Amino acid sequence: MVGAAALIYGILLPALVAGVLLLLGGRGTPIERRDKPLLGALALGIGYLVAHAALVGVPPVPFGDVQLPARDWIAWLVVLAIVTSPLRLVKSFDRWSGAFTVALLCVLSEHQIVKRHVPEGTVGTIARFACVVGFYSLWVGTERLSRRSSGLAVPLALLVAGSGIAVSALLVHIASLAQLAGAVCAGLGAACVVSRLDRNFHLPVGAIAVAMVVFGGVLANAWIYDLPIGAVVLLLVSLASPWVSELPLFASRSPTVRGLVAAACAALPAAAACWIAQQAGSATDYGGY
Amino acid sequence: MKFLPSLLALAIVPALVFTVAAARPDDKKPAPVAGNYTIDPVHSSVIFQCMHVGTSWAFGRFDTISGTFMLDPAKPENAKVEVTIDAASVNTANAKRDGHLKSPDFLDVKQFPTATFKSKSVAKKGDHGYAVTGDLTLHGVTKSVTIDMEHTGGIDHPQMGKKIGFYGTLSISRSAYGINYMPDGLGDEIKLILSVEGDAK
Repeated sequence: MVGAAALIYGILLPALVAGVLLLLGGRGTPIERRDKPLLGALALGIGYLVAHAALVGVPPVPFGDVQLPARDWIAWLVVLAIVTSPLRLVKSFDRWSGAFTVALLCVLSEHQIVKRHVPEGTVGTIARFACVVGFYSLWVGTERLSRRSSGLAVPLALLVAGSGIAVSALLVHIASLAQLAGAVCAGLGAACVVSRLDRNFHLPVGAIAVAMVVFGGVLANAWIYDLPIGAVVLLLVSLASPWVSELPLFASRSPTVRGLVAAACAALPAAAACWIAQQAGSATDYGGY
Repeated sequence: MKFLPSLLALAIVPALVFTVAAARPDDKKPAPVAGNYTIDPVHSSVIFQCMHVGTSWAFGRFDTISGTFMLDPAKPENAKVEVTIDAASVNTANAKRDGHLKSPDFLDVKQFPTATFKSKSVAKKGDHGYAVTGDLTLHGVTKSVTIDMEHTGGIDHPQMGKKIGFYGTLSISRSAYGINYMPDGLGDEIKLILSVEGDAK
């Protein structure tokens, strides 16, 4: 059921917060200093946290006997992504602090969301390790691309991939997580608009951190609740699609064309994943009544 | 003498009424027998009801429950109750709705496969009642609740052995247990009806 609250807190507010912060934050800043990690993390993070509180409740504090649902860990990991983002401002330290914060968030995401649902033993440990390394590589790669490539490609491709994740979650009948991924997509949509208004716009690494934490968390939850592994892999491929815009074939094209190419390359695997999710969703008992 | 039938009727009718009343099972209810009991899952029920879109009460149950209780009517404060409910056994007579209730939108049964109740104190309440206070853990959240349980009956049967029954109700706020999704669709208050039949160990 999509009510007024879902529309306001799940879409409009995250888009508004992200749009205003990214637009005002980038204005007047020299191009070489455009990468504002805290601003980016706040731009997507505030909208997400408001949506989380409004749609599924304020997450309990994860101390003592409290056992948090995996869904609520996503909110705390977003908070951690915001809090750790200023570490990247330390000039002499930013490469290491960036790698450290991404690794920390990847490991915590895996530990709090995936671990208990993977069988124990050697195979399970290898699978968990591969999961962390794979997602870390994807995340760092997206950050690197966003630093070197301005324009539409990264936010639009992430928006398309994130939409694929949200729709897949919905198709395996986890509506709350689909809405939460949708809140980040709304913020990325605003970033796409800002990239049209500001030719030198780079999606800040802080915003990428929030998007990766939320999309990774929603994807992991959807996998736990029967999203086939094939769809998960396709959605990860979709998240990696912005790199297509850097192929020599498109290097000389305008940022808009490169953005559309990246979006199209994200849309193909995302659409295939949605089809798989739809097949899986109709075969399970979850929802649709 | 013509009033004799009327007088007899006046005497007989109340006598019959009192006789029938005296024969009601309630008044024959035996006192609870001290002992350790195992919950009979076939003859015990955990039923819940929740308001749907502010319109009507929707009902459901958990099909799989287990647990034990220890009772000493002479010292009710020594009683102990432990109940485990299989969250995935939720049953609302609609498989797809049950599936949605099992998902992270509501019970998140893969992460929280059981709901449990463990008593901390028991106090006698009225002739047949007990106020059972304990920890209810649902959806990973533990809260103290008090359930008023009424002793409904007991039997010492040659084939079935010693049995004892209790009935109680409880009202909880689902949001207090972190089950917040769809506040417009489903009411926050969940009413629980508990009917427990125990077999003496």
